[in-house]
Amino acid sequence: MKILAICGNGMGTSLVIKMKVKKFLEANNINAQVESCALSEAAGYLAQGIDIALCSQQLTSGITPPKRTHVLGLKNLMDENEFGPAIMKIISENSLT
Amino acid sequence: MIDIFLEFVNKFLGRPPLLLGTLTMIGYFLLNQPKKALPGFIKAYVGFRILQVGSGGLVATFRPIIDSVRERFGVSALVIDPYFGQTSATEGLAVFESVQYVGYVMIIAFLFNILLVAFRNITKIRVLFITGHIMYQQSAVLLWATYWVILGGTGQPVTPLIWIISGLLIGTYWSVASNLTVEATQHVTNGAGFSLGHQQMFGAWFAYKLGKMVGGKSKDVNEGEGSGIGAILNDNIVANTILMTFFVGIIMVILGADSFTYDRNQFYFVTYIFETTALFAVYIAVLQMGVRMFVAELTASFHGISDKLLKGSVPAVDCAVTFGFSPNAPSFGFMFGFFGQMIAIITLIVLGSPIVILAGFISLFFDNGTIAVYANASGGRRAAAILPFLSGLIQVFGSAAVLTVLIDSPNVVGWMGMWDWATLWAGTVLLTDVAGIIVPILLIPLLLIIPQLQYRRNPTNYFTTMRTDQ
Repeated sequence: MKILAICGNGMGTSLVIKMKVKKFLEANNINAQVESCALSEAAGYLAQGIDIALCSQQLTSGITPPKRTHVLGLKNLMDENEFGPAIMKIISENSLT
Repeated sequence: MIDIFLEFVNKFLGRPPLLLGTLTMIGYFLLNQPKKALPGFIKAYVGFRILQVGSGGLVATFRPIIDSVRERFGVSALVIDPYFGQTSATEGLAVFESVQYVGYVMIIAFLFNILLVAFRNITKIRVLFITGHIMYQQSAVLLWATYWVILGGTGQPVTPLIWIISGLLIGTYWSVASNLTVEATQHVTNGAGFSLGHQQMFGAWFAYKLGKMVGGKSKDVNEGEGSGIGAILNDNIVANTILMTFFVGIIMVILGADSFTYDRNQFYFVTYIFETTALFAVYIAVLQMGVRMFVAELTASFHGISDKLLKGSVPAVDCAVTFGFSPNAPSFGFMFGFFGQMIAIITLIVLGSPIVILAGFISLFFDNGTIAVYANASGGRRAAAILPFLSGLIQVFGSAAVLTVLIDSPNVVGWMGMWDWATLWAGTVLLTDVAGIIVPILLIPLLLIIPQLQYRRNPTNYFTTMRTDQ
């Protein structure tokens, strides 16, 4: 499974999401590759096949995801309790590995 | 023996990319992740070299334009944007073989921040600053500016006193300023448990405090539709290109086609302007790619260290993290900050200032966006309009003022332009220019009084904002 964290500049915010998500997945024994990038690069990453893309909610309109990608727009990027259950739900509903 | 050591200092520690790579490697060994040490070294090294390509490109593209403007009109046109500030710093320090000291400054500052949090019972500092790219940028710019106003023109490299004081001072700033915004950030984010670790912590704090007064009971900016310009602003490549084409394009038109040597068979003047100004977006993207590569490594180790050493400390993160809590505020702040900056720039031109400022994207969007988020939290949409507008004026005038003493530094292309850098740091650099190294030395204890005052106002709940879950 591939997960992508996206933010405006690809410098700070997406890096923080990436680390939070990695920590969460490791704690739940889920194997996934987590990358981070800027919005302007997102299309390139998405084309390579991303299962879940995470970003701040106001950025979702700037993303045109391919069919396979589930986009999660977050309010609190730092909060495991927000992205955690959402990621788990997508994983179980689509039986991603 | 001493000779061998000095040679090592010269040929290894004196090479910034090698130094940063080595620091990353040591970090991974300390975190007990030896497998990541070699990849970490390589990515830090390569990342730094990419960064150098980007900043070199910015200077090479922009300096000729600065020079022609200076020749023709006797004024210096400089950009206020963190990447232009950082480029001025590293390309300036490189001339005096001193870029490696930026690494020393950053490490001293980070260790000092850890120390202040570790002794929080005395210092009242709760926050650890972990925004890697900002830490690098600020270390570079403060070191360069301090060096230039003290030793500029002598040609000698940065002295130990200057890099030690710069390190302690910027570490104090990270600790104190991020600590100051804890309560305001808790309000903005409904208690998300982090603080602001960026370039406008004092600005955000003022915006939050003044917001109540200027905003009254105006409506929250997030009620109702957004402005719709958000979609453009969110894409940094598009935004950078549009802004640079606009500002630098105007200058190129004023200078006229005859001032530029380009192949008339290949370009119209208009396409030549666009193809030149788009280069800024190109080099900023390159520079960011490099920063991201080596900062990703550093930030990972900072996170590891903060989780390991300082359980419960509040992390200070990038300002954009707050944008999710107030989605309409950033473009609101951009718009009104833009008006403010335009008025200030026109004022500079009308008054015949020797320095003319060109607006940069990061200061316009991320700085004024953050100001708007904090102003809106306490004063609604009126505050989110007025305070970014004032911030726009401050950014331009403060930056123009500090650039008057930095203008002769080699390869200078601009200044940070962010709120704290147009106020606190502009003032510090100007005072240091007059009174010397004593100014940054005295500023350290002065800043450390701020958390004491904060604590005194609210001793019972002061430490309860710290994370307890980890």
